[in-house]
Amino acid sequence: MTAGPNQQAMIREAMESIAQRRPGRTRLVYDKTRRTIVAVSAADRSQRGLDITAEDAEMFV
Amino acid sequence: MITLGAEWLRDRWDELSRTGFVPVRLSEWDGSDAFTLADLGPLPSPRVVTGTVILGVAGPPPDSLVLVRLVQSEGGPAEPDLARFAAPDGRTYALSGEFLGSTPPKSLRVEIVSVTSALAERRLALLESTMLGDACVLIVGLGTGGISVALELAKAGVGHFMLVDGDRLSVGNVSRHHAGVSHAGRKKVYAARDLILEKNPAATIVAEPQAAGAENEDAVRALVRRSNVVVSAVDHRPSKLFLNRLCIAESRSAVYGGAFRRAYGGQVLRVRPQRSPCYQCFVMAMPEKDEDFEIASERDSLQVAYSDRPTPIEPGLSLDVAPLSTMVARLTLNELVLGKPTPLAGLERDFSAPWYLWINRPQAGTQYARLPPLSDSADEMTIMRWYGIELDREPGCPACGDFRTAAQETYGLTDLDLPDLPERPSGISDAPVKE
Repeated sequence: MTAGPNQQAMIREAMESIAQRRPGRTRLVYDKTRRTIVAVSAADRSQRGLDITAEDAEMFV
Repeated sequence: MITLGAEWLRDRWDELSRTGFVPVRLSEWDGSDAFTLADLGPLPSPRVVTGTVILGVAGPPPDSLVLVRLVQSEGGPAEPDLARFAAPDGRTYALSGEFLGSTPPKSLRVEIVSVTSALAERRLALLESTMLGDACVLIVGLGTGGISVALELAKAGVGHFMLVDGDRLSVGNVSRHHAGVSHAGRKKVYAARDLILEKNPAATIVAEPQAAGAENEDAVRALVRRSNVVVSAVDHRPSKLFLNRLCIAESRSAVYGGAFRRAYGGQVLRVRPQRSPCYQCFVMAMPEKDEDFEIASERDSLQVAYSDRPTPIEPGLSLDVAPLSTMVARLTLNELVLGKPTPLAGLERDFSAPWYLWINRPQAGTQYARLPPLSDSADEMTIMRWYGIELDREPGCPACGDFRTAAQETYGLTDLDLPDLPERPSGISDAPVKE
């Protein structure tokens, strides 16, 4: 099935939108003091807590 | 269809040239539809029949059910569809086959395949045929995760495996394990050995049917020393810590995989001794937690038997373990190709973090319960994506850091108070090292 011109334009627009988000400019770092994973912006060094607490994974059956 | 190995036939060419025929054991499949050299792998068909390879036009021996005939090829139009074999005598032979167990005999196509070359073909340009032939991987734990890692590495061409696991395969394991019910009751290392050889018949395998622990530390240490990379696919923390200590002492990179409860997610840690946090550093960074660890084995269930009722084994889908074992295999492969001329070495930049997190589903009751849908979350954490996480080493880590100094500073102790602690391992810097 081939996408029509309107669908192609929508797909292109969506792809450009995703590309402009510049994925990868935010690093995930484990903050040992807060014991959570935080997102650190490379641009302004700001930190955003993800409220993701690390936990060990024991199972590998 | 009849499939023979070119290596097998070349090894018997002198005998074939001298006597005119050689016997061959063939796996019979699917009601005589296919016959495969039974020695090609370790798991032949339940029905193995006797065949004969004949050089020239002589008749078959009376007990032969399958006939493979090699006739010097003229290359003419009379034999356009016949496969050919370039023999050690420099001549090319046309191949034809027959199943003699039917009336009239059934004509079969013959393929003589160079197994080593054919297996390497699909890896060309990424992993040249001999690149990983000398690589040696120690895999501790041959359950669902460990066997998946082993098979991926075998398919990539890793030539040497050392397998350690004391458990047997139960029927219950089969819903997640690559080995099927036909292997029930076998030690997992032996089932794994056979499955690896089915993928890479040239591999050499050491199978140790025992758990890795303090009681056999010297033996495990020797295996660690012989390996290039160690894969930890065991199911509880003490085993991982034991292995971590040996890998740090022997300066071997290791990859640790694990799944959360019911495999709603999991994580993978890659340890490069003295260059990245070790598994002990990782455990020290974790929050304190209750003994609510995963019940993944009989041993675990006995340890946390809260009642006199049998404790159920945690369910979980093989599908949910697969991303984790794939990542373990990927990181292991990355270690094996470091510094080698392959495009895969470029992945070193992409896999710069030591710790990787994966969530299969927004499991209720966990911190991942409210993750946004995949469709509107390019900036948010979601299920079904890998996240690399930076983590610093612990300067006072008892496995890879300066625990003695850290203990003295923390508790105001002197050397006299700590007579039995090991000296600081060599090569450790004062500053925490980030990978």
